Order: sequence, then C-alpha cells, then structure tokens
Amino acid sequence: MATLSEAGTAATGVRPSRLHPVSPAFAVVSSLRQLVALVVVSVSIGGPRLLVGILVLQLAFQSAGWWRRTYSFDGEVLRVDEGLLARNQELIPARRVQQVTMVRKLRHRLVGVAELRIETAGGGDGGTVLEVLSLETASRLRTEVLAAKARAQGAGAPPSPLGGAEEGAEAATWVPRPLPLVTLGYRRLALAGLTGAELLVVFAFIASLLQLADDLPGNLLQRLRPLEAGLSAGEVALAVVLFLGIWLGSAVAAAILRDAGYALALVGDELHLQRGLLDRKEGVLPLGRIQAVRITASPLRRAFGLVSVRFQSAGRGTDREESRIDVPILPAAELDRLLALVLPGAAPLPPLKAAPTVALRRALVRRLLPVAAVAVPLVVVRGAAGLGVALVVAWFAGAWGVAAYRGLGHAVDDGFLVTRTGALLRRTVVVPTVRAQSGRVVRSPFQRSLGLATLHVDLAGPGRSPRVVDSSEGVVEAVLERVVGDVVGVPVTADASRDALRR
Amino acid sequence: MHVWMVAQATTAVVGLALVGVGEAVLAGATEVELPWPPGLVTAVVAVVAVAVVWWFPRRAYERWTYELAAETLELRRGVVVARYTAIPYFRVQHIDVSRGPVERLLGLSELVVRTAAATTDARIPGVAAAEAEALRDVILDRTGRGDAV
Repeated sequence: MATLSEAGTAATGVRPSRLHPVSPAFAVVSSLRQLVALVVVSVSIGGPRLLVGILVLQLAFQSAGWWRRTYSFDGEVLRVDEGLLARNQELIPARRVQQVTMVRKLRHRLVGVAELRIETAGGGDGGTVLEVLSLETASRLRTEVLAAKARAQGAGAPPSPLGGAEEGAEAATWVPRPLPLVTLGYRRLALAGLTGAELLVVFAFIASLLQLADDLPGNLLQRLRPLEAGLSAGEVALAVVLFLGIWLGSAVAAAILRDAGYALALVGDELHLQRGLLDRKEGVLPLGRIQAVRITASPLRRAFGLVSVRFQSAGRGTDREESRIDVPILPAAELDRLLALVLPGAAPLPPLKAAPTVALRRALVRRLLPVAAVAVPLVVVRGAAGLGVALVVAWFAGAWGVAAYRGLGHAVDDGFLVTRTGALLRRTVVVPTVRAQSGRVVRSPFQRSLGLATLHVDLAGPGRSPRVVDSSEGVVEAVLERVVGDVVGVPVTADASRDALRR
Repeated sequence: MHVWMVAQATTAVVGLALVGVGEAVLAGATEVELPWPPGLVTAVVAVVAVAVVWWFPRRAYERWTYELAAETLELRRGVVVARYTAIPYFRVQHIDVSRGPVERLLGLSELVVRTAAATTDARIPGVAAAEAEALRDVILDRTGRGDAV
C-alpha cells in the first residue's frame, strides 16, 4: 500500500525533500528550553549520565521525526507530510498564500540555514513553518511559491526577494527593480527605542528580578533597609543616573537588536522587508493581500511628529514579531507617500469626521461611573480626606474621557474606511472597504438613549476590528451601507432598526 | 426559545444552589449572626431567577431575527445590547450545523456561519433540523466561487 508521501509523488511527479539534516539538533535545542526543569532535576538526581541519556533519546526521537517529515512543491501546491505513527498531510495552494517570511535567527546564521514561514488565512495554524532549510533552498522555494501565486492571480511579474541574487531560474523572466520605501539608520532606531514600547523592557526585567528576590529567604524591604540607611545623597543621585542610563540604554539596545538593517521596499506588487541584528527576518507581503494599515501614535511620538505603521494581512500568525510587516517609526509627514505607494488611492488621508458632541457625555459617564462607585464608600469611610482623593481621581477620569472623545473620528471615501480611536495611544486604521468580511452595529442601552451606535468592521487576520465608535445611528448605518456595498459591488440598504422580516 | 429557557433555568438552578449553600454555611457553620432572616437572600434570588428565566428568553426570542437579503445575510438580536450583523454571502467561508442535547430533543439546529474574520459573529439558533440544511444550502449557493479573502 502506498504511503501518503508516495501517493503525492505519484500524483505530482515531484520528489519530496526533507528539511536540512541539522534539523534534529535544532529541535533538541528548542525542546531543551521547554524542558529546562526536567534537565535541572535529571542533573541533580542522576548526574551528567542521565542528562546525556535524555539528550540521546531526544535526538533519536527528533531524527525520526525529521526522517518522516517531507515537503514538495509542484508549482501550484506545497505539500507537507509528517508524523511518526499517525501520518498527516498538509496541502497549501500557492494562490492561498498570504505572506511568506524567511527568518534567520542567530543559530540559523551560524550554520547557514533559514526558517521559512508560509502564512495562509483560515483556521488551524494558518500555513506551515519549514524550520530548517538551506539558505539556497529557502530562497528558491520562497521565489517559486510567490511566482506561482502571482501566476494564479494573473499577475505578469514574478516576484523577487530583497537582495535577489537567488531567483529561481524558471521564474525569473522579469525582475522588477526594488523601490526603497523606508530604511532606518541607528539614530532613527534609537529614537524608536526611546519613544516606543521598548521603554517598558527594563520594567519587565525589574519585575522578574523582584519576583526572584521575593522567593529568597527574608523580606526584600528588610534586606534593602541597611543599604538605604548607608547611602549618601550623592550615591543616591548616582544610582538614579545609573538607572536612567540602563533604562534608556536597554530601550535603544532592544530597538537595535530587533530592527538593525531595517529596509522596506516595494518589489513589483509586493512589500519586501528585512530587519534584525542577530535574528535576521525577511518578509514578503503581496500588496493585494493587505487587509488594513494600522497607524499608531503615542503622546510622546505625537509630540515628535512620529507614528508607527503595521500592514495587516489575513495570515493567522502575522501578528507574531517574526512575521510582522511593520514600520517601527516613521515621520508623520512621510505617511502619505508610503500609503500612496502601498494602498494607491488611500493617500492623502481624508479629514476625519468627529463624533457628535453627545458622545462626549458617554465618554465621560463611562469613566466617571466606576470612579463614583469607589468614591462614595471612600468618602463615607474617610470623610474629607476621601473626598479629596476622589476629586483628584475624578479629574483624571474626566480628562481621560475628554481625550477619548477627542480621539474618535472616521471617514469613508473612495473605497477606503478610516477609523480613529484611543485616548492616549491614538490608533488609526485604514481599511480598503472591499476587504471587509462583515459589519456589526452594536447599541448599548445608554447609546440608544443618546441615539448613538458603534460599527465594527470585521477583517481577516489577527487584530481587533476597526471601529466607528459612538457615532449617530444614521451615520453608522450609512457607513455600513457604503462598506457592504463596496464588497458586493452594488448599493445595499442596511437598516439596523427595522422590524423582523423572518424568524 | 425553549432551548434558551432550559439554558437559563440550568444557570439559575446552579446559581441558586450556590447562593443557598453559601447562606446556609454562613448561618450554620460560623459564629456570624446574619442581620436578616435565614433563607431570605436565597428566596429573593429565587424570585429574580424565576422572573429572568420566564421573561428573558421570551424577549430574546422576540428580538432575534434573521433575513436572507439580496446580497447579505442579516442578523438582528439582543435584549440589553442590540446587535445587527451584515455578512455579504460572497464572504462566507463555511457553515457549521450543530445540535446540542436539548436541541436534539426539540428537533432544532444551530447554524454557525464563518467568514475569514474570526470576529464575525453569526449564529442562527433554533432552526428546525429539517430546515437547517436547506438554509445552509441556500446560503452556500449564494457564496459564489471567488477568493473570499
């Protein structure tokens, strides 16, 4: 009886290949990190011999898995067969591929291999990961899959990866010139680190240190008290400066480690991205697969006129850092140029329509109500002191509500929906309306009393649905009609409040 | 509606049992003297639960509608929070038909319509089992053959 793999060969005439022979060793290293507790216990109980035994067994198991895992690409479908006892076959048509990413972590670079991630939409894992391929094989397979995808979509231009010296011979009949979109030097990366989420890295580190210290015998504060008593003012100042240096330095280092050598380019009708100091990542996203462009700006970045941009595709795993196609930092002034090239027709972004003034009432009530729930008992218990605290907290809650209201806005124009939300972190989402999967109008009792509603536009791929928050019911229904009408190609009437037609 | 009533009643009975046991433990096994007559909280919760089990499913049933419009599947529902969903047929990826034990007993099915967006919320509950497959086929007939992503 033929195995699945043999059946595949017979059907396609393409001989299945195995991953690079170094795969089992890589798998053992990866599994050791998950089994670190077992390793520590085995060393403490049975010494190095037990550990060596475990490693040998693990290597044998992974080698058997490597032997039984094969892949082949027949020009249309990528086929992966795997499983020691229970065999599993995965078929990925090239036309369904959303995004292809080549990852070269430090261990890959040391051995001269690469990991290829092929993302598709839909359930399950959403594609496949070929963990260890030779660099040449990974590049060739990426080129072949993307070329097949372009052929299936009727595009004349086959793709070319960045640095494209390794195009497949059959595919490379025409190689478009890369058009650089964004490159980031070390100064720009440092700015990204100093104004981005990397600033939080050191706090996560401190939190884990505190947790470790808490596990040690004795109370942490008690251990620190003698140290605190013995410090002079100068030493405290030095400690503060040292902490600031470590804090800001670690933020800059984190940004450089992740994004050194960052280059985003347009190659034909694809976005090509490469980045990373130690772990190199190369991603390819066909423009036609972009579901939305997400633009984020923190107050700090807004003050410097900077934003970050993420391109959302339908691939399930594309929100993971290794597969993400984004621009970590970009001057807001350059946004229109980028959008014009990536989403033709979307730039310049239209002026956003603000939420109606009645929405301010909801924004305030939503934030002041929880404060009132805490403040009343506080005032009863603590009297005037409690009232003072409650007033300060209420002021901040009110300011937060006003900022949240000011952050709301939307526009629908020329086949694009633009939404904006966020009190401090402003999130603007640009959606080609033809990409919408479905639309939802939600009205809470309080919204109904104010004549407001919220529209959610569901998109394929990871990430929260773009929302038109707290707009008037008529406006929300009109936006939904435009979006759904663009999807189906004819005008549609959406009346969320009309009576039941069928039960 | 009966399925929802059974579901609500099950939740209410479990909740009521927890409240009753909690009050009994508080009154019997501890030294705390309750400032209200024994069983009062359980009785109040029971009255509220009966009202909710009786009223809520009826109201939910009245509000729950679906329509096969020309280009979209439209759903309207929600007692407290009103929701309206429009799904272009073109976007439908697949449709599940599920039947829980109570639904099987009552000869009903639930259709779950899925698109490429995980956030699409499209369930049509309480469809007669014989009608469910016909409804599924009607929706699938309208999806077309294109690439829905």
